[in-house]
Amino acid sequence: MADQKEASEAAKNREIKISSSDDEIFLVPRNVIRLSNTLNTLLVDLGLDDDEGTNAEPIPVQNVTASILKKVINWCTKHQSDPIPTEDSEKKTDGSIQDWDKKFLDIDQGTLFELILAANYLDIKGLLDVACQSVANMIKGKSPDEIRRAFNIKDDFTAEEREQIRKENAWCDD
Amino acid sequence: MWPRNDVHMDDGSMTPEDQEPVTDNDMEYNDNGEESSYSNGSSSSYNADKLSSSRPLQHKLDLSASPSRNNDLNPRVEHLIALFKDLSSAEQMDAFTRLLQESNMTNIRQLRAIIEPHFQRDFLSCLPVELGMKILHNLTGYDLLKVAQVSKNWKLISEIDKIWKSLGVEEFKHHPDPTDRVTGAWQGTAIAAGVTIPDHIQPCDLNVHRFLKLQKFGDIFERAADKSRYLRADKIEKNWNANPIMGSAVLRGHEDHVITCMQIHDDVLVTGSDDNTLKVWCIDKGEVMYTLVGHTGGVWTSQISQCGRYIVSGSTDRTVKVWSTVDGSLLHTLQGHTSTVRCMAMAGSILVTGSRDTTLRVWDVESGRHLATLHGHHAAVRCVQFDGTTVVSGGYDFTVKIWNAHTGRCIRTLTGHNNRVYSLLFESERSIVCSGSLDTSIRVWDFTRPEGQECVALLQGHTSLTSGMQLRGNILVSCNADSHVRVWDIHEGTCVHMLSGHRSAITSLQWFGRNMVATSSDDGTVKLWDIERGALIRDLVTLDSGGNGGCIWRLCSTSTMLACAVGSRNNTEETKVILLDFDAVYP
Repeated sequence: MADQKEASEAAKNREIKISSSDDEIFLVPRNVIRLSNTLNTLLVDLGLDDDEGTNAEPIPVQNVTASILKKVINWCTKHQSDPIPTEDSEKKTDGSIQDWDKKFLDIDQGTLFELILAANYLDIKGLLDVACQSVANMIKGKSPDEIRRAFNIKDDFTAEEREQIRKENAWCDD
Repeated sequence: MWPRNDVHMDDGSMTPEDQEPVTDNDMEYNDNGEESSYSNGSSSSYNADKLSSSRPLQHKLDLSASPSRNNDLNPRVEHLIALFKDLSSAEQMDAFTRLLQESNMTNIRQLRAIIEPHFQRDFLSCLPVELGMKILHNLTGYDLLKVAQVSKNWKLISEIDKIWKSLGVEEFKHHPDPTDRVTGAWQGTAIAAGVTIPDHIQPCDLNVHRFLKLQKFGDIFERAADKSRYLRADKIEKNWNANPIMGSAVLRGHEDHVITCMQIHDDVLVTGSDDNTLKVWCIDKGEVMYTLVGHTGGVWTSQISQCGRYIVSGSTDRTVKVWSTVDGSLLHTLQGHTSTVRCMAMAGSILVTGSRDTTLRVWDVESGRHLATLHGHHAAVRCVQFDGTTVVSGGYDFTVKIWNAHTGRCIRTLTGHNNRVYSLLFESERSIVCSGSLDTSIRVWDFTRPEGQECVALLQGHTSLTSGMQLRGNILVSCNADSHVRVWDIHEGTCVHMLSGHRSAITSLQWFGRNMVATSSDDGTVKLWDIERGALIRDLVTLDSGGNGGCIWRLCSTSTMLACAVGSRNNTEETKVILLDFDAVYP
């Protein structure tokens, strides 16, 4: 029993060395890394979970820069005690985001874009869901012009296409 | 397919959050260099991106008399840029800050226009499609319509069927295909001397609408079928709630008699009458198909089988007759009841009939065989429900009885009402029975509970007999001879809304859509209510003879059509069925 507890404690305290695409090194607790299915599966498949120490060579996270990876680790650290998402988690929420995440995601769109790609690549479902919800919340309730201004999008419809779309949408409004 | 922004821009370090962390970062990491430093490659790509994205704006600026016109030719500016490139990132930031302090507001505004796009991102165009869809899954249909107007890429991704399918609106998956409803009785309207349909389209606009109605599958349907389905469902709901009524018809029959019962199955409407006949109508064509003749007494109850192949009728002549919907022929006459057949219910091909003779009988309508007789009520059986195994009956003996249809045994007798039971609901999945009585109350029963403890809610507030009820989840809607509609929470046993507006007894009720209920009344009106807000939406039909004998006996509906049986007790209003069309095409 004591041995089991000690082993469990060691596992909790164990840190994994990972590196960003620009070769910055991060030491991340094993319990935090489990939120990434990509890294979790990698550790299991490589047999690295059998070791108790920190891996000598860092695991490269090729598609994620240091600044984004730091943010991802920050989010995972905050959410390390969250329950594992299941299929039921697919149920639609009302679009509200909890306060800590809301502050975390109050960043410029370029960073949010990179964060979505990183969450997708690392397969961190909770972060991906909440980041996508954040973008959706920027769209909700806005007119097309407001949406274009919010995301710096050029209106590339021809006059004929614009008229066709207007007609199609008016069908529902009347 | 989707244009991608190939230039990788790492601008995370430029955000205010990186300079003022929201939370303490207690993680340990090896810093190979200054935190915000760029590698040479990264710096190079940053500059390239800046040049590419700012060039259009620069072109725009060149149209003005801006000093920037001379940038490319000014050796002093070139020298300054060369010096800037040699600075470290921190030194560059210091230089930026001091340059801004030296700039006038006009230049700063121009800088903002140049800088701001760097912090923006066209997510849907730049992300992989499956991630763009993940974002759009969080939006409502209304927002998706706006998304379709933003740009070509946004329109394409917003019309992916899977996104529309995942919207929570269930109704749009269940509407049948668009209907005709322009021939037969639909060629006219139900508007006539003595009949007001307050929001009916003007007759001069009707022909245009009828032409448009024939274009059943439009451009959106061809391109994005599920978006089209969603839009049609939304339009149908608006047609009920607010839009002008775009079509109506009058089916004339059963002259000088009362329409006692009415059912709909798909496109078939069946009306029964105390003229001893039933009429079978084709709704879409607006015409009668058959008149079912054979009863020697008034018809007081009828059903259409779930498969749609049989019409069953009960009469004061004590018989039950089974008719074919294919050709209107009489298939069986079921004899055995010794008094008026007053109510019936069907599951599959098994029929249960209730009678003034105090019994219920179980029949197989395909073979015409009598299967069982249920004895136990001490007075007329007034209402019955049946799920294929369990029969629930209410009677003039004040009781509700639960029976096993196969054995004919009475499983349970529910007592508590102190006057006749007039209406029943049975939801077998939850073993819930709701009964409405002349004692003014509605009782909710769970007959799996111990004997004597079955009554789980007593709903009081109505002041007369309850003529109809419908239940969804824990919400029960009841209509009553006291002229009121009430909305109840059966779990809490409370009245959520009381809907006033009718001036005399309510005869019938239909609940469709999410929260719309239509009611018919002795006062000669049909009203549409929002039972979530507890408010009248609008009057659908008003008879001038209301208050002088003209009344609406019964309502039946599909998701796109309402049928109102009209008549009077004193010949002030001719007997007819008014049909209202709420359908729409696929855009």
